[in-house]
Amino acid sequence: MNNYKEKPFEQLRKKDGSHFSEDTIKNWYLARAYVLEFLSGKEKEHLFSPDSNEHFHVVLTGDDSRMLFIARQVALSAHYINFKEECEEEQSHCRTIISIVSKDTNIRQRLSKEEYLCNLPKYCRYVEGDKVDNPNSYIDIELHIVSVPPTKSKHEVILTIKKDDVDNFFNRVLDGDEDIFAIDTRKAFYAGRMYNIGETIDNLPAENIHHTKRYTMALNVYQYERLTEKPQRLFDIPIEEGKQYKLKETLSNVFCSDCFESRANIIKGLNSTNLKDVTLLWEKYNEELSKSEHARWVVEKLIMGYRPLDEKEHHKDEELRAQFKSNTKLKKYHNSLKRSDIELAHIDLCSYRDLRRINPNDLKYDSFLMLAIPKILEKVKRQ
Amino acid sequence: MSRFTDFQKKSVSSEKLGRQIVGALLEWHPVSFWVFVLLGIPLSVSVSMIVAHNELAPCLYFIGLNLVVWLTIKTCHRLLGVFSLRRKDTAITWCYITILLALGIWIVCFLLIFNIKEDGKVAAVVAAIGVIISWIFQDKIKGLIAFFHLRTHHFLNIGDWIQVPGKDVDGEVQKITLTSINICNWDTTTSVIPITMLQAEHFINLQNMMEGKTYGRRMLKTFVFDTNWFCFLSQKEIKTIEQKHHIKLHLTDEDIGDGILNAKVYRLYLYHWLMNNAHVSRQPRLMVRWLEQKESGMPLQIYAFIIDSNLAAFEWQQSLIIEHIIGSAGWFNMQLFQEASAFDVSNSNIFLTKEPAQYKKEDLS
Repeated sequence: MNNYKEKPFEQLRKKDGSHFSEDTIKNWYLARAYVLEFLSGKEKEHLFSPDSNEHFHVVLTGDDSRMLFIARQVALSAHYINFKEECEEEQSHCRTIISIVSKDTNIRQRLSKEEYLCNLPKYCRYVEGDKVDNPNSYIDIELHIVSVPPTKSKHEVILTIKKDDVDNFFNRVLDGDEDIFAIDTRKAFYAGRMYNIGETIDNLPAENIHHTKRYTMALNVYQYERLTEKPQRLFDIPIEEGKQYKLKETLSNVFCSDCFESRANIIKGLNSTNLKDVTLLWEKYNEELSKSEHARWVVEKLIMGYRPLDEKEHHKDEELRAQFKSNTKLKKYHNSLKRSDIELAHIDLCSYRDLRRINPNDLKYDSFLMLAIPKILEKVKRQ
Repeated sequence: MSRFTDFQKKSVSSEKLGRQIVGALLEWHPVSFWVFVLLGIPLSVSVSMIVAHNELAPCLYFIGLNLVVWLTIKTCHRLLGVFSLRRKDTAITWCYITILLALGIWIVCFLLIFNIKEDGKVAAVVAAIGVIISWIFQDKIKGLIAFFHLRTHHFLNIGDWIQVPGKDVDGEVQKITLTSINICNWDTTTSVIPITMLQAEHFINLQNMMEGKTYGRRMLKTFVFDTNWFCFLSQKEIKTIEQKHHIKLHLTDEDIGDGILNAKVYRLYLYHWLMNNAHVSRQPRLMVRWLEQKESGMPLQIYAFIIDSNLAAFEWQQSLIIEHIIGSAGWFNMQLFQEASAFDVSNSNIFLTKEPAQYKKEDLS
């Protein structure tokens, strides 16, 4: 096991402060390993280009706890740059569909448990029988509960994850491969190092965020200062009581970096003219990549127990903005919401379009990170 | 000939710069060719005869130099047309730089070919001609500097929407040359303004805003309310408004107290309604504010940014907002001010009465 393999899931706690069971933690690692391997093995089939009108459909042929862990990991990892948040036709959003074959009438309650999808079923498009909840959801994952495995429809790439295969994998790994129960956090470390660059270099624009040339200076600082640092272990210091948000913020970089390779492969696939400098493509598709990253982030946050602001909290936020006292007060209020261990709420949990009008200053992080991915991957590859 | 023309046209239409240059170079242009043959060559020969005292070699060099410079300028001129259509601003700038370089090289080569020295008589003549030309073309030279200033800082691109308030120009930039800018105004007329004007005068480039790269397009509208209709609303009335119009005002009992001014409740309602309007940006600022009292009433101003910045979409959303402001005023017993018209007077809609006016639309409770 290399020095940067860490065990972050062990430190996660439930909302009530209790520990997750050992089985749950093991299953998170196993599901992560299985899904990432499964997706990368079938990559050619589902790495859609930005103008593609196809979507990815994963069918899970079972509803036992292992399959629900798989559903959780698919939701965390399967995000594509052809997702169209603002599309008027219901079928053309190109969301990733996760179909769970189940006859359990309480499946939704089970799915909403903290160890599985937590808040995601509440906000995403959820289809169970004839009932459709949140039909126009801004989230790029759809959950379908079906009694029999669905057949392939037009414009979709369907892949089935069989219960037997999952069981075989889990049983096989449980007998040996310790390496799977830890995560290489180097990419996550470097992803986390992109924050606060704006504090020293005022080159991260809130306006015209996809004009990639405006990030040049910040990218240089990132590449020649931050990326030259030796990676540090992220989860060595035990998380204090009531500071679970800190762990979740760091974990966010882990989930984010899990998608780096697939994003890089999408970009590689778009290099039809055999450009030598692929960074130009990262710049060209920055807007699509950023939107997709925001969609991924939203799903991750909902799974980690965050929720969007409710009416009262929005009202308070609006009042603070109206008073124009200072940005610090508003920021403090936002932090108090997203850093409370009882009920985590985040103002950015909204569509990309809404984020642009509600909190546009946060858009630049997605755009910057997308430009930084090739540099991070190269750095880690060289180590 | 047909094959040659095909090749030339194909090259110009290509996306590759090298082929475009070849195509532009090979383009057959009879008028400029004959101008060069009938005017350029004899003129070159005459100048050579005078300056080089009938020597053949400088004469041939000079004709060769003129041919190269002429071909360079002709090619650049043709490429400028191509790049303008393709909206390749950087390439256009490089074309102009090439033209200027060609002219510079022509001057240097002219001095070298004819061995013109500082103390010679010819040098004095050349200097005098230079001074006169500089004086005649001083605006063009200023334009040249303005061109490079605007282009290198990316203040202006082909296709940008600009406004020059001082000159009543409002439209899309069609062509940028070293000396002038063609603008197609929204009223379908065309304006040609010297490029120096954009350096000397204030102009507004609205392109980024129109492309949705800013926070949005500003909406600034003022509504004048008749203060006679201002009144205090009770807790009961607030509740009735909420129930009747399916809105939530988020007012606490403490806020309402013995009564709360309807103008305040309405302002707060509009502010929160705009904050939650999917087409209104909360940044850089969103304000609903009372302006200074006027004879006609109290002006309420909406200062907001609509994220749909395309003109038609913006106007549509702005109209919807205005309609909501007008429509919802009545919910709070507010009345927009409107001066009496001749129709009102002739129909006796205004009359004196012994009874005091009832400034309440209806019993809100």
